[in-house]
Amino acid sequence: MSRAAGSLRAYIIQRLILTVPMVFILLTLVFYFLRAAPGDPVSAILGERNPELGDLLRQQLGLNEPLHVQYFDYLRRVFTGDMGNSIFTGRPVAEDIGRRLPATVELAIASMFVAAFVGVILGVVSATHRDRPADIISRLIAAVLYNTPIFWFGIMMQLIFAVRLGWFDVGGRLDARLSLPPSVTGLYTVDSLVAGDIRVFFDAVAHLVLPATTLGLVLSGFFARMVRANMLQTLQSDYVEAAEARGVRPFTVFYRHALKNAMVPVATTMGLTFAILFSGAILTESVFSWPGMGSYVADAIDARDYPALQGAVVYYAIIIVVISVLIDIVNAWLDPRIRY
Amino acid sequence: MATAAISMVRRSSLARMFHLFWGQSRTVAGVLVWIGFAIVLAFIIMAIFAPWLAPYDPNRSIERFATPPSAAHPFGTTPLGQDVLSRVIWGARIPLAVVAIASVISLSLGAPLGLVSGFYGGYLDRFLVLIMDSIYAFPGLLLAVVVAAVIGQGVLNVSLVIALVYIPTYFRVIRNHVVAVKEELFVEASDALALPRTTVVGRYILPSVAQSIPVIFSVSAADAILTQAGLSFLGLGLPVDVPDWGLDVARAVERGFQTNWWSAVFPGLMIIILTTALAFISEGLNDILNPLLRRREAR
Repeated sequence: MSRAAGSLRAYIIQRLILTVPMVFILLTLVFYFLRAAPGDPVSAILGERNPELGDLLRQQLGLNEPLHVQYFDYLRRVFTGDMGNSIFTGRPVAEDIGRRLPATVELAIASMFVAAFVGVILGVVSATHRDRPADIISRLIAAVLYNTPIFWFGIMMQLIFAVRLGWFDVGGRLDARLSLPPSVTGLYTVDSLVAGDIRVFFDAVAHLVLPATTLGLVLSGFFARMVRANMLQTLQSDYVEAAEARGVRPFTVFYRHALKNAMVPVATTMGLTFAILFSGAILTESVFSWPGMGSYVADAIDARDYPALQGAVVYYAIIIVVISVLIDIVNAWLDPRIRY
Repeated sequence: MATAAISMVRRSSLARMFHLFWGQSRTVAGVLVWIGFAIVLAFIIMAIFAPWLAPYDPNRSIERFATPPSAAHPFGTTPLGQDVLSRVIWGARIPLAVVAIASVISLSLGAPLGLVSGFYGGYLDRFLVLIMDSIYAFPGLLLAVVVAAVIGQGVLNVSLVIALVYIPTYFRVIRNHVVAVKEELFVEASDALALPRTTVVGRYILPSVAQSIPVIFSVSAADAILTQAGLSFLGLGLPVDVPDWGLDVARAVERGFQTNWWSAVFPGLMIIILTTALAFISEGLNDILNPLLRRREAR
């Protein structure tokens, strides 16, 4: 017992130490992708006109310095949290991101719930009815969901549920006439409940439903595929056969023996899930004017706001590394084989 | 003698794959693959023969603005008076061209790197894996957006951006496959015969590894089309008014999709049909080629 706990702690420490090179590599890649690409942000902003202003802007952004000087300057700024000011909002990029991060977190959590719920149902129906019509229909639904362009799906949702039926408001996180709940977590749905303001809570939920369903349904296609594949494997395993032979009820076999074990590999691929989630969030937030990190990126592209774009990417890189470490630790806890 | 035996093993693995694939044409997996192929082929034909198939010039206004679907214009017209059906037909060209170019680039960079990394192992392998895994962990669209914002618009630039996103996919699968094949008896045998390394790789490892390329292609192609559409939607794909599905959806949104839904709906439907067809191919191929998921014969 104590040995197992000790090895988990050792694993966590080892994994935490590994984050340093991971962050470093991602930061370096971001830097070189942006610099090695033909063209530079200034010509992207100004085009060919106004060379004097271009030179001034290059000087201001430090683009005339030698590459290694730029690189170390960039690293220093990342580690001191100074990512420069957004050209568009005029505020420090770090401050902008800090404001927008909770919106993305709220959307991500809600979408994950939708994705897990729909995905597990589709995957289980598929796996338990292998090669029969129910399987084919579930797989078809999952394939179509996963392969739907998310921005288009969001537009269709708006067209049906906001424009035609008028059930939901679209745009932002809260009706402009309502006052923001006092910030505790930054998630409006949680904060409004903490403050006991039911009206704000329902309005926040009404704004969240469509974007979260859009992003969640697309992700659910991915979940369904994983659940199906993993359940087919666990259903073929010896312990399932043994349970069937012992006369365990079919429902218990499916639920306890097959599904629960099938969820372990789903946890291992959570990193990929988050990558898809973040990509999808850029388009979802942009379509629903959801004021999170994704729409910040989309706005930065529109405004050719280069410092904002670079800053946002750096924060994304850090978030991704943190998430991947957390996932690895959860996995090690779930599956002792990983620790050794 | 031994060389003959080795080449028999090699030939049989390719023959087995073909046989497996052909023999599956009546199973669900096989049917999925054939349907997928048929749809993708139809899109390719549509793209190539767009000038003859499209009833109108996709860019010119026909002086009927934002009319809903009718007999004359089955998909309606845009607020600029363009025929949506014609734009949708022409719109297949850019995504298909981008995916084709991007896949060739990803394959020709990712595959050799994976081969070298897996075959030689050691520090080089660890270094490449670390870099590729870092790119792979990064959200694809975000990576594409960042690079596209710097290198600018155009078919070739978008292809380059998308190629970059999918290099790690080719790299990972090929590298892991090589590492697995390296352990097999016939590679060990050719080492024992002191065959040159290039022969071992070129004649014995490559053909076995080549099996996984169609699967990676069909998986990444569907994703690549979605990424291309996303870039176009965000305004990073192409200069104005080239018919392109993602761009057309974006234009429809700018011009008020609430009142002319048809100019947003149909380009999006095209993307779904094409990507789902590619997904059918990859699902089917995966089922056929992944023996773990094949039904146990004994039961």
